[in-house]
Amino acid sequence: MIQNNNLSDTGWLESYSLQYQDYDHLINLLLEAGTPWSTKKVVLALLEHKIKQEQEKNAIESEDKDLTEVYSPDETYVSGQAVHFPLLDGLSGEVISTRNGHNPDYGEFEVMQVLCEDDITREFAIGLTSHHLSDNFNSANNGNSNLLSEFAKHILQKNTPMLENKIQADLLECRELVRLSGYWFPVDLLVDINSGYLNLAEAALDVANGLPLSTKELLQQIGMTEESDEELLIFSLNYALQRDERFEDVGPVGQVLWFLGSMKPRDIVMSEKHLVCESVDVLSDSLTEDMKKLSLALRDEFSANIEIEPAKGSVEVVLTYPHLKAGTLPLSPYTAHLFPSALVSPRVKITLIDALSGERLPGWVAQKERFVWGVNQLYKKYDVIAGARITIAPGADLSESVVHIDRRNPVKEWVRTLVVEDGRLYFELRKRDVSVGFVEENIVCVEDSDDVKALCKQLLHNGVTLEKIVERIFRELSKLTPQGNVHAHTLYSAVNVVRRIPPEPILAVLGINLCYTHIGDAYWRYEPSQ
Amino acid sequence: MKLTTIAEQTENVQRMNQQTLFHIDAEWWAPREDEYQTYLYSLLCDKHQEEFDYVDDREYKLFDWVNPQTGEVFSIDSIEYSVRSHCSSQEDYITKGTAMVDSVFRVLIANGNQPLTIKQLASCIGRIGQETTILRMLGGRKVYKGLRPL
Repeated sequence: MIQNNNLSDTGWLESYSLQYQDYDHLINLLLEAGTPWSTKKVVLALLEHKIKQEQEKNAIESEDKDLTEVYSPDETYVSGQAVHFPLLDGLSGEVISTRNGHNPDYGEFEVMQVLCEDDITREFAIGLTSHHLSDNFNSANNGNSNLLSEFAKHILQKNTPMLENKIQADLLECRELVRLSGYWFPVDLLVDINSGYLNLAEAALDVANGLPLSTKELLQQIGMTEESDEELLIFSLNYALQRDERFEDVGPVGQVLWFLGSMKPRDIVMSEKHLVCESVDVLSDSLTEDMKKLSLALRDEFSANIEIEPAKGSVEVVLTYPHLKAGTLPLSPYTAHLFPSALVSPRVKITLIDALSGERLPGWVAQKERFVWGVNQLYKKYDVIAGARITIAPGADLSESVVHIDRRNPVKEWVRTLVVEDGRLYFELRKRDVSVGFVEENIVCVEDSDDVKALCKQLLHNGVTLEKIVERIFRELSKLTPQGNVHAHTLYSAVNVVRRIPPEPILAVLGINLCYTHIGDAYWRYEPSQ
Repeated sequence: MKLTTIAEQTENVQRMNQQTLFHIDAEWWAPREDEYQTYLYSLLCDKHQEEFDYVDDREYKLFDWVNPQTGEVFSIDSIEYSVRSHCSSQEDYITKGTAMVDSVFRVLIANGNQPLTIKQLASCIGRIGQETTILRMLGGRKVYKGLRPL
């Protein structure tokens, strides 16, 4: 019949933390290896070390308890002898009998019956001299064996996140070790990359026509390939480049690609300014369920607590004024799957493809700032307005994305237009050619963007609150319809012309202030007498 | 492979992840001893099937199998011994046509019922990329051939 082969959990795991001997041990191992090790390999090595220490400790304790023998399958034991089993969670027992073993694969061996301290009788192989099993155990006693490694792997497999997090946190405290992209190495043993090499790397990137280069390509360009082990050279060069402000890692997850910070388009920095989102805390109680639904429908990248199923395929976004001005697309949970992510790089370089012309444009994914830069040219080319529908589709791989602007023949439309006069804002319906598909509720045009810019500055300078801005814009928008009703999405679009803000705080203003009456669906009315 | 998505679907699967080890549960087979013997017999190669001739009275011989990790000895009968020591190394032991449940069982029997993860099992039975399907099968409410998480 089949038997189960449990390896018991070890009690020391919960309180396990690295001691200075562990750091020394790891540094010695890395010194011997001469190349950086992945976090997993490091954790495994440290676990093996710990298991060995525990085994030795158990053996000493066993001796203290007069359990003179640590079990090894190549040894022989006699009835009445006490035996200790470090690999069975430190179990001990007494030999009660022995018999001949029967298995042609193992040759001649014996089997001892042991009454263990948990009152279960188990059988163990002894005198097993001709089988690899005994080799494993012999090595295990020396603390450097396949068996030990297997056991460490087994423990790691069962507790991966806990052990990796704990050990990594401890290792990060150690100043003698450096971690780069999930690999570790002693800082003192890194290959010296002097300023001459860094200058050469800068020149290599300079002549690469704005294309990022991998570390391996850079090594070839600066002629360092012969000097040491390639793996160590790559690690050392990455370390040196990371510490030099001239260079930026722009590679997606799992790929290190270097780029010159000075070659980064200046517009990206400008975009960051356009898209800086005001942080306003909104109590979740201040929003009704309907308001929350209205907020989610807008898919704002700064909306809080967006929990969605991982999206696939193309996604349609409705452009807001800040993104139109910045020449960017939003990087939200809805669009994230279309762009590469990175653990280290603040920006990842990609290619944006115009679906209509096939034109390829350089793009950048700004992770922290939550936008994708590089579509300004398309916005100008197709005369895109705020409220336009834009479809983003996956490219051949994550380094490419296809941007499809819903172009159509120009039609004269009455569109709400923000006008600034004497430092005050107004909304008017004005006729203009619209040549892209749009969402009626979200469309907002601006008569003069410079005036709007000046107004934004003035509002900020005067410390005008969001409540005041919402009130002013709401009252202006309500003049555009005979009923005086304003759609929540229209208000969001219009407010975002003068202040970048997600929908929740705007809706919270409507919910809290009694002047705003919800008249059903997504519409509100301003009734100051309330 | 995102096993957690599947894990949300059934109560049993919720507890499992990529690190969960699966084995053949002896307790599940205990009340089905005859069925187990018949099933094991079906795993024998032609040569051994002839040798054991299951219908007739066969010699019931026990062998000592040693757990390579702990040195612990377990008794297995001659059929199981033959499967492990000979039949499992034959080319047609696991073929493309072998059912997924049978393939997993055969792999575990061949390696002495050493517990394996879904990824390892998928690799052993030549179904890399079908980890989710294997997890559904082994992690569902119904237990097939005693295959259970450890």
